[in-house]
Amino acid sequence: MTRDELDWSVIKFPTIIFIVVLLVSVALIYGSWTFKEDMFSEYKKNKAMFTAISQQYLAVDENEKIIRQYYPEFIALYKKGFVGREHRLNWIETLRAASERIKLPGLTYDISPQEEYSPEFSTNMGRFALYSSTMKLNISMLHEGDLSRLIEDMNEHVEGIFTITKCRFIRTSKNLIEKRDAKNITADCELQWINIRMADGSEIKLS
Amino acid sequence: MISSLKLKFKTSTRRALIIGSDKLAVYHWANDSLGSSYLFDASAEGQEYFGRYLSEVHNDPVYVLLDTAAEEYRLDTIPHVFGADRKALIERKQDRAFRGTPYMYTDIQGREKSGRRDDIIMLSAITNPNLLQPWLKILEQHKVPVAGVVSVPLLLQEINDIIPDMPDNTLVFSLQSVSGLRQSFFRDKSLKFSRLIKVPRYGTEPYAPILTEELEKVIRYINGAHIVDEDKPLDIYFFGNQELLAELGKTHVNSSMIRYHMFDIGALASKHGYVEQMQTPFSDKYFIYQLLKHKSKNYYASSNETRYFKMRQLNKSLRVASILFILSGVIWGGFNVLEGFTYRQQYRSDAKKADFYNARYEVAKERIAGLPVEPADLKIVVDANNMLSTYKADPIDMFKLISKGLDVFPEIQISEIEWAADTNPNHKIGGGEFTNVIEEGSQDVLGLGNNSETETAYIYYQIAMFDAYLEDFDGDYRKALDTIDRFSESMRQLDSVHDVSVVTLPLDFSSEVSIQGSAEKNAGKSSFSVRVVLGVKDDA
Repeated sequence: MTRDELDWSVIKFPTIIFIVVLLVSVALIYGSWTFKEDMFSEYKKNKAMFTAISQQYLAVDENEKIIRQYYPEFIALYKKGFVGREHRLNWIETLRAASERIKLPGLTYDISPQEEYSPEFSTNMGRFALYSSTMKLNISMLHEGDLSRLIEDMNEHVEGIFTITKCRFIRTSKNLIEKRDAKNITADCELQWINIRMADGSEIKLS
Repeated sequence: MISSLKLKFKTSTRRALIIGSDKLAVYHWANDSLGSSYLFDASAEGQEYFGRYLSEVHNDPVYVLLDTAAEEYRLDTIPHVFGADRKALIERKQDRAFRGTPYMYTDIQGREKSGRRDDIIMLSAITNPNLLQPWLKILEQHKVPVAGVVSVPLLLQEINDIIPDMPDNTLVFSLQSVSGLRQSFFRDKSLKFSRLIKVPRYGTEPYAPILTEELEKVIRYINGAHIVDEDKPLDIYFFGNQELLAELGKTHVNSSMIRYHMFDIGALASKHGYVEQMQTPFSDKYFIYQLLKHKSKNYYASSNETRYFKMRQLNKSLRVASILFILSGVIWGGFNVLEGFTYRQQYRSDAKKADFYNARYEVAKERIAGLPVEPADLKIVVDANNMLSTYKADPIDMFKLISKGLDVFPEIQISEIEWAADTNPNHKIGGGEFTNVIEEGSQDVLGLGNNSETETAYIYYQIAMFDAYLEDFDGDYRKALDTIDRFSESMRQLDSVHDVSVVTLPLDFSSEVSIQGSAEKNAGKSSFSVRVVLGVKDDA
């Protein structure tokens, strides 16, 4: 059908209707699609917000549990000098007091500067690092039981965590001398005083 | 009146015009059946009435059936070519055969069986356009959609339902009230010849003798023109009412080469679903019924004459497209909106829940504020302390172990102990790795122990290397070695002892070394050294 054959009066109305319907349909689809996309975008945003806040809330809940469980022990460790600064003065005082209590014939000590410590076992240190100070003890003893008493005394009174890494015991006299100040055995022991601090050097302070 | 006409289309209604030389009949089609009909004379008055009729009824589409003696047919051949060449050849043939008429049609009917095997064509035309044009003009003025123009012979050729399984040589006789007696011959289902003669008014004379006379003439003609296949019988179809057919049946008896078929149009009509009783022998209504039922294609009308029909089709397509678009828009849009509302409901619910948790989070956050470190760090510190406590070592256990061993060997005296704690049981005090290799030649020597190969569950080890001697040694090395061996064996049996090795003996008996000494009693040394490894388990 050529253009000349077209009678617009016949097809005008359906053509207009078609165009209007087409526009309305497109508008309906576009409008509804935009509405859906907007709602979907809002949904994603709120979902993400809800997920984040609920995770934070659950984390706080979990943190509260951790605090209830670990904070008292943390405070105790802080006070004991494991966390934060070493209580070197306390070590010396405890050694002297223990020596007097046990009545050791002789006790000398030598404490080295603190160094970073790498334990032989693996443990998660997070943002922390372990440090240790080496203490060398020269102990003169009446018998080997003195060493047990010294260790027990220190475990009981000292503010710090230590482990003994090596000892050398020498029997100084062939026959045991039964006097309180007799030096029958001498022991050279090495202690590691272990301490935990923030790896970045920041100080841990209790409020 | 024309300008105010509104097109009122109905989807299932249509009309047919049957135009004869001096009459025009209109038939309406509704609900799959023929409805009312109108008859108009081919005069100025008739045309005026026809125009008035058109302005007063629905503007349904019109199929025009023509039955006029002014329709001519020519059989011809053209070379077997295609496309524009074929079109040009046909146009040339049409111009030569029919001049001064726009109503022409060409049917390609196959190819010749011999020679150049040209295409066989049937050219047909309405040689008197004035017969058709005034009616078509009125239809156009009223914007009536004209679907097409077809003649009775072409309709018979097109619609198989009229003569089912048309035989190879078929001669059809039909009477039309608006025109007369139509005789059409078909070979191999293709129209080869057709003619129309006027008949007296119905009821004035019997039609059977006229048909018989015309039949003889036609048979003579088709035989003379050699358009009939002489090897096959001729099938002659009479369309009429029972009365006419009964009369014809008396004189026309089948033979080997001629077979007669009496088609009662009343019976045919009811067979095809058209139930109106046919009283007259005329086939107009039956043909119109078939035309409207099958919506015959256009043969003669020009593109301009069928433009309103095309516009009607376009109009319908636009309406269908409009409905589809609006439905798509509503359905798709509806789904989008529903989905959108679902998302809205969900996001509002999530927002409420987020606010709820946020309020509680803020309260909870205040409760844990003021910590020196993060909560997770508290656990790290405590765990580290626990781990250090697990690995905390002192030599007390080792002292107890050695004391226990010495309890049953009072003759053994210790002069020096070196002690260390390590996760490696082969740690050598003073550095390196301890290996207690039993050298060649010193095997089975009394007093030497072996490293334990047993897998253990110890987390670390206490290692002690001690130097000892036998008190009151009398120079009996065999006895001394036996004592040391029993001592080491007794130590090995103690709980948590991982390994006991005698490192040095009072005297080296291997062949590689020299031995000096005195045979006197109490002569010689009795010192030896032992390495003890004590395993420590994780108490947790």
